[in-house]
Amino acid sequence: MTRRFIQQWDLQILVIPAIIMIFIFSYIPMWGVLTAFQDYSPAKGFLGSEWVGFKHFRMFFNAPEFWQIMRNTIVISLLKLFIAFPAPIVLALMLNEVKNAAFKRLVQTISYLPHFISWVIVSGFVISLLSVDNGSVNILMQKVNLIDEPVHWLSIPEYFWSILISTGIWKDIGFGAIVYLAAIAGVDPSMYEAASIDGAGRFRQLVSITIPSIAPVIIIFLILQVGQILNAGFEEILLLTNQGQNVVLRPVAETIDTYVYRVGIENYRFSYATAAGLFKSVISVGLLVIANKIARKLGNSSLW
Amino acid sequence: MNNKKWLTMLATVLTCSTLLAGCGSGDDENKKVAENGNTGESAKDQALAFTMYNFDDGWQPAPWGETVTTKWIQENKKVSIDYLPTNGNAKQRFNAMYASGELPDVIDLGTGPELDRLISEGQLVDLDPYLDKYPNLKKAAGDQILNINRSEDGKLYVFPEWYVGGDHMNGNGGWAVNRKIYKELGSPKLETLTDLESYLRVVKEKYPNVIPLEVGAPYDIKMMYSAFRENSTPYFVSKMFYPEGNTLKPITEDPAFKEFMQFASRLYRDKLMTQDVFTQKADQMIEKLGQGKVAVSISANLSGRARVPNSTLRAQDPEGGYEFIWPIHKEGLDKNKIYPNYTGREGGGKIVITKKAKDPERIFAYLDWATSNEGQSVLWFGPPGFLWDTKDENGIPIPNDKYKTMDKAELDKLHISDNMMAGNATWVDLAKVARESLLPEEQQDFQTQQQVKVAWKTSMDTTVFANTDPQGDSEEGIILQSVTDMFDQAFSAMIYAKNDTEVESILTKTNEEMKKLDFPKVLEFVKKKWQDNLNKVNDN
Amino acid sequence: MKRSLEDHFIDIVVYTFLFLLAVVTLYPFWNSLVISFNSGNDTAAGGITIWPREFTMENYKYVLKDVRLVNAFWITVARTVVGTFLSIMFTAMFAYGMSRRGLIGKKFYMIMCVITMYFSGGLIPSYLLIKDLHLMNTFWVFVIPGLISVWNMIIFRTFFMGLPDGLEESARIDGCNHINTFFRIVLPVSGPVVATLSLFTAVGHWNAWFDASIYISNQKLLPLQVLLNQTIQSIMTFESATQISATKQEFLQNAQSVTHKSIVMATTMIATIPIVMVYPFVQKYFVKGVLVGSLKE
Repeated sequence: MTRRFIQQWDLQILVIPAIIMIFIFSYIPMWGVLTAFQDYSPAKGFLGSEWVGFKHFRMFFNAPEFWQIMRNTIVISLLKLFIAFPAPIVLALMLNEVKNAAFKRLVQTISYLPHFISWVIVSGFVISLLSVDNGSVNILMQKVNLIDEPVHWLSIPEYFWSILISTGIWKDIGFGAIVYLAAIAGVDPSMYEAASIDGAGRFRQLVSITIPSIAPVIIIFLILQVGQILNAGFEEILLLTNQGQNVVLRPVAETIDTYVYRVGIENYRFSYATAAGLFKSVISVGLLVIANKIARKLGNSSLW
Repeated sequence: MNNKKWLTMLATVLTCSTLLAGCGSGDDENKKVAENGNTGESAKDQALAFTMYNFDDGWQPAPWGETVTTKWIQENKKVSIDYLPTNGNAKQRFNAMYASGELPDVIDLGTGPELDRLISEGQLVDLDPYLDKYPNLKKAAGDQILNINRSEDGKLYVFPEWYVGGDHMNGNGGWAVNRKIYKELGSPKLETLTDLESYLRVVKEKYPNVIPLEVGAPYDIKMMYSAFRENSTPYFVSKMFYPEGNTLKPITEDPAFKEFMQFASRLYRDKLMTQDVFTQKADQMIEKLGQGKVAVSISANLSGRARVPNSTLRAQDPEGGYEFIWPIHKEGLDKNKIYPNYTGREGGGKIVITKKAKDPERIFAYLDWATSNEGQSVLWFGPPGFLWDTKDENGIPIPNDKYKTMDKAELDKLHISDNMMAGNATWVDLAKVARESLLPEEQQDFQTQQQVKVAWKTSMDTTVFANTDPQGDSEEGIILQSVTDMFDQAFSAMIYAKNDTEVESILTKTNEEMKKLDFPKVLEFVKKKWQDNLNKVNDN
Repeated sequence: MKRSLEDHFIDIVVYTFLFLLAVVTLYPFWNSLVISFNSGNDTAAGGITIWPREFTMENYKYVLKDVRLVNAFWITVARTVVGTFLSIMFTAMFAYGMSRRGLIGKKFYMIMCVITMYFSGGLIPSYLLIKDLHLMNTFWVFVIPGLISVWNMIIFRTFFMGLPDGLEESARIDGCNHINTFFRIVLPVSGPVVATLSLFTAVGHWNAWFDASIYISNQKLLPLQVLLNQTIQSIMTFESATQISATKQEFLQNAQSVTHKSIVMATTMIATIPIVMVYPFVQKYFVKGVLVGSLKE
């Protein structure tokens, strides 16, 4: 074993420095996780703070809002997984069908612009577009007789999830498509030529060549996405609900992250916030492991 | 752990791995590491220099010594302040600094969890020993304000800022009407709730594109509570209690609150009130005001938000614009006891000196100077001999010819009042009025006019409720958090209710839920602090 | 070649959809641009959509007058270039090692990496570490802590694993070790993935503000995004109505009456346009066949 290790020194040397960096910058500060089991106070420090076991976890699980928060977090994440995740893939595939190079470049560049506009500004757009008094969406829908009177888009909990997901897609579809475009660029053109000679149409080529070729990338991203499932979009939710001021939406908009921010960070309940965060991490890793297992069973892509 | 070792090791590892790669890509991009910025510390020997952190992300003063004002202070008072930037992330940055034992010498903050922690963890300097030696604060604020600011242990850890001494009251909010629409509708009487409601109905009928009553945000709805009972301010709705005799009762048990909720819900239901109230941002309200699409408005900062819209509209039509009206009241109530605004005399800002400070006494001496008449004059209006030479009988600078002839844009560029601190609200308000009164009426500032005319006169003194909030991580604090969450949702549900009966049933349910969540415990806590404050006030 | 019905159908669907997408995604950016060229007081009255009503350069003049801005711009450029270059190089090396079959301890390394994606000690421990390493208030705090990106490593690795085995074998026969192979053979054929991840990393660096806001107090080291964030924050605090300290609120408001939405938009544009312009240059790496073409040589 040791001999083999020394033999592959050139391989190890590519890996070990990075592992050391990861150790320093990610593992040394990991003691912060343990403050979830303390009544941590910055003035007393880590060593001076009192250990309280699972107190903060119990408080979190027993919080009146707990089940509501869990439901919202999970539903929003699932919607993201099934709707927002495939959107950039579809865009990339569509762009790949465009033969006019100038048009393709133009669309590609434009679609990635909103990624650079901060959520503060984007949420401002959305709120004013959807407003009841003079909102463009209401005016437009009234003009084409879709609705009789303005709809309270942002005050009706039923609409919130759709608004959140579509805004997210709107903002990041172009940026997300880049990686798939790069993957498509790697597909061997001779495969298309061969298929074309065999008489396969464009749709057929898409299904039997393009998609299988980029499948490994899609699967890896999917696995990573499953692991992110409890990060249900903190910033956009906070801003679309007017910093949580829009209480009408709270029953559908409060997620673990916004709750931790509102209750934990704003009120300096360090340990409570850490405990909620730790709970989230444990679930996420569990999901990741399951997703990875499934991916390995189904094909050959997997994380480890 | 040897810290330098880490870095050396890191550097070695990095260099080695690059070298071993054998394809020397010559990354000479090593940029010179910029120097640590310690400004101001090299000043003259006797000069006092200290670091200061201001919690307000919106406050970005010019660096010390770069304006006429601060240069003058540096030369004449031998004081330099090194502002630690918040970088737009005040809370988190403070957290990190605090946790690593790097507190600044001076912190400017509001009441809340940070201040509670600093006090309970013994990080602050007790200011009592300096109070008599440097008497300006005591003179300007008075014992009552200082006592209210004392902590539970009886010591004074905070230097109050923007305290309101004397008989003055302040406030920026209230009711205003769109002058043009009001005139077009024949300037009807607008004093009682009935007057208001019928006026709003007429507006809705005659001006389909105008919002009859613009309320900027949920809090602004709560301001209407003031109309339903004498001596009641929206502060009570925010805090969810109201005083009755010697006790505090949940607001949900107040008959006036029920009436108010039913009224507000009806206005909303009949589309007489902003439909976007729970979702809109300040921008949108200002936009509507600016387009003249608002007939009546009530808002906590209306004098500020309507300022630009008012001048835009008046420029188009001298008859246009907005004007504050005396607060609306319910029939039979005394209109002079209606308070949509409230004033905490204790001051919203607190300046604290931490135990990190090397010379707290000299810092206090400087703050004390800053809050004196002389200090306020300089910080607010620049050094003597620049834009003013003499003061009036109240100690307020009289603008000289240079000021009067100076271009407004030029004046802005000087940033003379950027570094204002230890503000005395009464002094500043009086000075503002004095300065405005020199101008012809049409040039006077809208905000000041409306404040003098109405807002300041309709502000209730809530000083006795100062510092009555429980700490966020205490038992009462945690209860308060869940009650607030629940109440906020119930409040919106009542506004959205379909009829009066629904409002009533939500209210009854809310009242029960609040009890279930142990709200009386919070009230007990607040009551005790409130009584303590009453004693402090009455002692004097 | 004869175009089939299917071809026409696909073209119609694709072109219509993409055209609509371009229109709706262009709007927020275009509107921000327009507002940045419109006078602030006029913008406050609302209704600015696709064309400025009162055209002005004042907002840009106001923003560019701030001397800190120019400095911040160069800090941002420096952190983006240095940070992206070093991070991509070290991460790609790491990923290549992780992609080779015989690597001893691969599973251990991988698990170690994945854990860091989900568990973090939080702000305070990181702050203390940065302080102990003497990285506080230095340029390198932008570069070193994020040098290795686990996320990028996983993507790189996926690509490297897809490379034909023959590629490596031929290099080994020539006597190259893994390190030489990586630099001479693997890296040159990884154009699209390097370009993509460099773009992602560069955008990440360009937009990053949190690390700087926490670790930097020297004004000369602040990047552009911190200034942008400050401007945005100052508007938000300006809007929030706290009644307690009415005079203070009023005071702040008057001191910053110039701070309008237009100023935020002008700052946003200055902070955005340079990085947006990078994309067209990266696009050429996405042309079909780059990878395969280079393999055939």
